[in-house]
Amino acid sequence: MSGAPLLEIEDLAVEFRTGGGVVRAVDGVNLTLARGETLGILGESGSGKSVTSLAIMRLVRAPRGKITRGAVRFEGRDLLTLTPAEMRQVRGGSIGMIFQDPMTSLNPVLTIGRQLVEPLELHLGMSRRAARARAAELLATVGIPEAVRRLDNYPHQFSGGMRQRVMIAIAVACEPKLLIADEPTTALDVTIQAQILELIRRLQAELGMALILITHDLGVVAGAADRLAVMYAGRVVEDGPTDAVFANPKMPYTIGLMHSIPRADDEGALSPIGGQPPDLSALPPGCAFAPRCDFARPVCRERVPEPRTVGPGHRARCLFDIDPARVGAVREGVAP
Amino acid sequence: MKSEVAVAPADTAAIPRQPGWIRRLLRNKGALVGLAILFGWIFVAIFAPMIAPYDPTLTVARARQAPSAEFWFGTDQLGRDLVSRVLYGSRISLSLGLISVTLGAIPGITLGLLAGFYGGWVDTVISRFVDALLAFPSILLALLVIATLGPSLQNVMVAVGVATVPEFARLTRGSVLAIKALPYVDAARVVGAKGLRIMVLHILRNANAPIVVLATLQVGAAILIGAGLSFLGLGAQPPTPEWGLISAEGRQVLRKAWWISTFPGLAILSVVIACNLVGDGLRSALDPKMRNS
Repeated sequence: MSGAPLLEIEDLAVEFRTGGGVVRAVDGVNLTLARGETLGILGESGSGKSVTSLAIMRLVRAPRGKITRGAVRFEGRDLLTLTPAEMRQVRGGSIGMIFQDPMTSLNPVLTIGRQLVEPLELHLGMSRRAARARAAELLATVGIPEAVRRLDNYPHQFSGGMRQRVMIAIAVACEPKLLIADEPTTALDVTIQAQILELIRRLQAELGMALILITHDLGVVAGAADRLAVMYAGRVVEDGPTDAVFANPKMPYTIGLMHSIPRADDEGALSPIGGQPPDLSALPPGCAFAPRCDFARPVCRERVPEPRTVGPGHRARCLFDIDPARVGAVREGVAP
Repeated sequence: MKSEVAVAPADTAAIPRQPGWIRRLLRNKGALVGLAILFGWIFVAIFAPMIAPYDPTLTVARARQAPSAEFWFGTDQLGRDLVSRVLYGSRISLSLGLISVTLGAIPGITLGLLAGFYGGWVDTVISRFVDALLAFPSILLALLVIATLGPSLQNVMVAVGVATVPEFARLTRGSVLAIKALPYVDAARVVGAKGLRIMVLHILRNANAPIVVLATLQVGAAILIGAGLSFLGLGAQPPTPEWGLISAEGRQVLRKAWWISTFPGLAILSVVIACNLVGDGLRSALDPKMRNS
């Protein structure tokens, strides 16, 4: 992890104007990513993890959605200030992206080959013939048998897992330096999930890509990510080395997440996090998690806690030092 | 674990190479019948002078003769042979239907695509304009154009074209709005595709099914509007053998000479049905998912 980071997100904020007011989907996110590193972004629905990834690609839709402040520096250039033409070179060229739902992420009326050839023609200026040959290679790389013949098939002739492989092939076609995978396994069967994750990891190693793995599945990030960022209500509430965050979570939300995992050695009931995620158009003035937090005190509701260093490279947005071991005691009614 | 993850066994089954959409269209029996009727009429339109037994504008027999061995469709009020008039009429009605729909579809689809894709003020401007056009009945809109340009067959084509623009624009806009939100459009952006490429390759190609169906329906409607304008004396001028005009001329004597209105009416009907059959077949043929039927 030496030298300048590959990606540096600084104070990024994204807002959506809706009938019910302004929704702050992302509110002051800071993240860095070194070359070849894997960053897991963990959070529940609506926590802003997908919007963050769309903002990196500048795909937040005007006029409703808008990046209101911040910078996204990729190899030193702020992506938010690029011209549309420069941005198109980045998309699919140096940053690849795969989406959650492989069933609808491929154009149903174009053959797989046609769609694989597109980035090659757009970014590498390859001829049709050369691009087709490369497309067949790519399909073989992602583990699709009889690749040459399969180029002429349409998306509906592939299973979900196979389509996700095709999506991955398209995303890595131009050997990007960064791959953003937005819930790449959520729509797939458990057995296929493992295969897809393994494929992403293999390609990452082969191409030396950095990876942003967005998920709500703790199991997915535990095995794959070097570092972890936990998002809640549009903010990164805790980030640090994956091992440290799992072993010693400091933010009560993260602690709650860790406790909500079913464990093989514990036959008791699951312990969910009580309450509901906050309404993003009417966030409380203080810590967004305070209304659901067992440890919340009046001061928590007054101002948003700044990230606090709690270990080497490990930061949490919480005012207090909370011992994860005591969470159980709190649940049983003992005061913190 | 590295190499064995590569292949999911369920997908290795052989998949036959897919036939093109033309072959798929020809496998559809309805579309085949429709195409046969349309090509039949096109053949008739091209070779009318050789097929028609008489000159369509000359009086060749007694007026209002019932269909007989000599005059299969009978004769009209002026003693002209109806078979010849209907055969020659195909030239006018077919070109009227096809040309006016093309004239309406191209600007209509373009407007709808722009409105749906860009949204915002572009959408507002185009949609209000289209709404204003939609507020008028098609025939009135066509009348307005004719009143401006003057009555003639060419102007009828333009007028009917203008009258069908809002339908195409509205339908295209709706389809584009639905398709624009699908993940594969974002996926195309993520790959670095430009706006125009996304509009045409990824959105329009997926929106073509309803548009093709509307176009085929509109061919029939265009022939009817054209006939209506001719009936009002604003389109084809007598003695031009236009189906709508012949039909309108026979209307006054429908009780005494049913054949004058009926045969051109049947001709219109056959073209409209043929267009619908072809449109339906095209819709299936263009949709890769319906290919096996």
